[in-house]
Amino acid sequence: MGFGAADDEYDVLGIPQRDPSTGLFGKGDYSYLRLKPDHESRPLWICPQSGHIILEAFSPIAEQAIDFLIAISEPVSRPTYIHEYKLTPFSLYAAVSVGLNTNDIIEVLNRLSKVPVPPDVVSVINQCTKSYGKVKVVLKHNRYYVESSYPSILQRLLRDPVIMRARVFPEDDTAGTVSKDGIITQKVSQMDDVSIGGLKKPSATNERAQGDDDTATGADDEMGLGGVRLDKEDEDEDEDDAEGIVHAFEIGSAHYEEVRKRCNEIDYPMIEEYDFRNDRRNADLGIDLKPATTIRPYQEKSLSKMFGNGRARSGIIVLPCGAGKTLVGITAACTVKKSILCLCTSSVSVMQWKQQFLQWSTIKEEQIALFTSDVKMRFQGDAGLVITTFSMVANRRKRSHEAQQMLDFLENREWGMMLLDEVHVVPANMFRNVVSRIAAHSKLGLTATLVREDDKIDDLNFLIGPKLYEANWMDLANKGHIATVQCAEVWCEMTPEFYKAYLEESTRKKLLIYVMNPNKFRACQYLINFHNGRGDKIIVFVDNVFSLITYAKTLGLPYIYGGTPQRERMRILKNFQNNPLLNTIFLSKVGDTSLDLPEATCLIQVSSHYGSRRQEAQRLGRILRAKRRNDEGFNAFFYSLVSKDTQEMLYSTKRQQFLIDQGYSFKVITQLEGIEDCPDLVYGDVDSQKKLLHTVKMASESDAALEKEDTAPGGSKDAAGGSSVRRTTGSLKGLSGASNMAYMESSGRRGAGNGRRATNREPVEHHPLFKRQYYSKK
Amino acid sequence: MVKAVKGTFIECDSAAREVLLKLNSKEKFIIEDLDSTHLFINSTHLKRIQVVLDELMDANTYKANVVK
Repeated sequence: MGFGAADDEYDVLGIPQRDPSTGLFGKGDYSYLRLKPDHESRPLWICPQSGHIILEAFSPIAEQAIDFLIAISEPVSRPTYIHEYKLTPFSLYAAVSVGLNTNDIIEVLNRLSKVPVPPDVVSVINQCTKSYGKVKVVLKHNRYYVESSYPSILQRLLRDPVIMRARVFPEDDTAGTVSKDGIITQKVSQMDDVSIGGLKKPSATNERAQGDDDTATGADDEMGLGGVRLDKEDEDEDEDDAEGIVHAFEIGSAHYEEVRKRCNEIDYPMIEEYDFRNDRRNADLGIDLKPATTIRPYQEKSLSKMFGNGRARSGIIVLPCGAGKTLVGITAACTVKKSILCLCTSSVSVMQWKQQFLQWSTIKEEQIALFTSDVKMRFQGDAGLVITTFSMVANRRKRSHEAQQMLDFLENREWGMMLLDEVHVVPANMFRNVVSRIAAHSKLGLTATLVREDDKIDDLNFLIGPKLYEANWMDLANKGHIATVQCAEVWCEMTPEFYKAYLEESTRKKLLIYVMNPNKFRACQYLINFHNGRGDKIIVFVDNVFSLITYAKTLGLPYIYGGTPQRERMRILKNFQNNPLLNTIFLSKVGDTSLDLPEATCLIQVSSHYGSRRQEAQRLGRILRAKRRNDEGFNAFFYSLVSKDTQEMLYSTKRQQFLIDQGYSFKVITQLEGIEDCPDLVYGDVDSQKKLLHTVKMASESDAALEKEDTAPGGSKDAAGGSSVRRTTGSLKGLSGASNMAYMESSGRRGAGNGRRATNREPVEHHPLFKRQYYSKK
Repeated sequence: MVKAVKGTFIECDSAAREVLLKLNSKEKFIIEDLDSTHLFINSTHLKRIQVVLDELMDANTYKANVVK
């Protein structure tokens, strides 16, 4: 065995070759990698095969290493001492486009690494950095073209069945207008005649593919592989095409996403860059940042990733809540200076975006158009800014005349940039067609939480683009851009009566029982009292409306949920912000995102949406922008109350994963100190606990369901009437077993498909007969 | 005639006790329910209920995906 020879060396380095734990590592056992003699001064480990890079963040040169790793790889997890990064094709491409070349990347990696860079990682880097940038997708006159200066690559692509299907053959007149060369127009029309025949002989193209650009193009045309020559528009093109020609074929816009995905699979990823400075066809928009506007360093860094080589690259920027995502979007708009389409999640945020644009940039009010269910405006002049919601443009049902006109307007023009706020919602089927129907030269997605509980997050790579930048939360907190938060998970024992009921009830009712656990009630009240005493402003989150109302009424505090009328909401929020006597409010899911309450300094989460990591992060975001964050020694607090020995424990840990990856740590509190000495807490005696249990048991199944997300606050929903109707339908559905609302990821807008998918993932309750068999199989 | 059953004295938290009581309703193994944290059970069932309890606790524990 080859290990024999290395024995001595392992001994020298003090690493045993095998010990009892070796077997546990399985494929992850990399002890065969030889350490460099001076490995201690180098901060990186590189794993072969997976391309994961482990960084010792406590190393003295960690800072430089992080800068480099951010440029070439994606952060996976960043706790305090050990960071994990991953090399991906997208991250490597991003590295190439900011000017790093293959050799630099490998050399620097080698310098930082404790082990020699594994050969397979080297070859991945080679392959990714070399094949990237060869194929581009370009938008011209509202049509998508796949462009390359290497006709052989185009031929290869066209031999792929998926891309072949997406291909649109140019009509005579189109071809004439696209190319400025008479001969080529002729060739194009010729091409149409032989197109079908040409595709049948791919072997012939192989021989010709090596030829120089001119002959190869000739070959294309003869065989109908469709190189349409275009006069090159970019001066700073790759150095390879010295002749200044690019070849292209058109693809149908409906197949756009498919083709991009396919190209990635066959290792010719298409890049989408918009050379906005040389775009003369689309009118400029007079927009600049106001002189007084300052951008923070990390915002600038994220934008430099987007505009790295003077062109706009499509992609996603990930910044924590409260770190100024809006300003990044506005600055990007000011850089591109073309018509901008801005999509957000609700009509409230539409108004916020408008107001922010006016506040930070020099855009004039008449250049901004809003498109919501209430307002439909157009901008004046050739270029402008349209702010709308995803659902307004995604809705394909019969629309009012006015809305339809507006939609046509949106679809019939070219947009310099499409800004997508809270981009993680886009993979929902309804929204994704928005991206393909509207022609935008570049797309910028903004989000705080690029996680979803389904596997659709990867789709964003093809829909929008790769992740361009992800801020380090801890770093921002240390620099005072966002508040530092102490996170804690408080374990509340179930009382025997409640646990008994928990074991007996149906899955859906279980939720209600562990949320209403009297010990949790007491913990919540105790924490409210405690933080009230410290002068904190507290938000309590309860997802389940039934428990929300019970909690709030028992403790005599105001609450807001989806059914609360707009005026009432405003009144409560105003009071919370300004009235020193009201320091605590209860919120349902409606408070997760759109509410901006910089006064809040303490969060208590009583019930939540199962294992949703996104919700956890977004709730944390409510206190990240705390006004007092720059006070000496200020800490915000985030408590998550969990009933012990229930499913909630599982969900709770799962929910925390995202924040843990961002470097947060959750302290577990098993016993709140001093809670026994507070005689005035509710549900102290067994009798009152039993009474509470009785009310919980009497509550209908639909009460156990989580509230549907409410996107249009202050709608015409009649609180009393609405809920009684819902209750009836809910329990009927429950009886027939058709009600799976509770397991839907976020809202009814997403369609039944998602609901079903989510239900499948829910842990299945097995009949005792099958239980043993099921478990023994595992 | 005197019938002897070998028993085991169990100390547990109230949640585990509730689980055991529930199991007991299907198949009797509790000899004496002593108080809120103590039970006296038939020893022959010990192994089985240990497994059941473990499974229940495991079901409520999140396991992170391990990179293969």
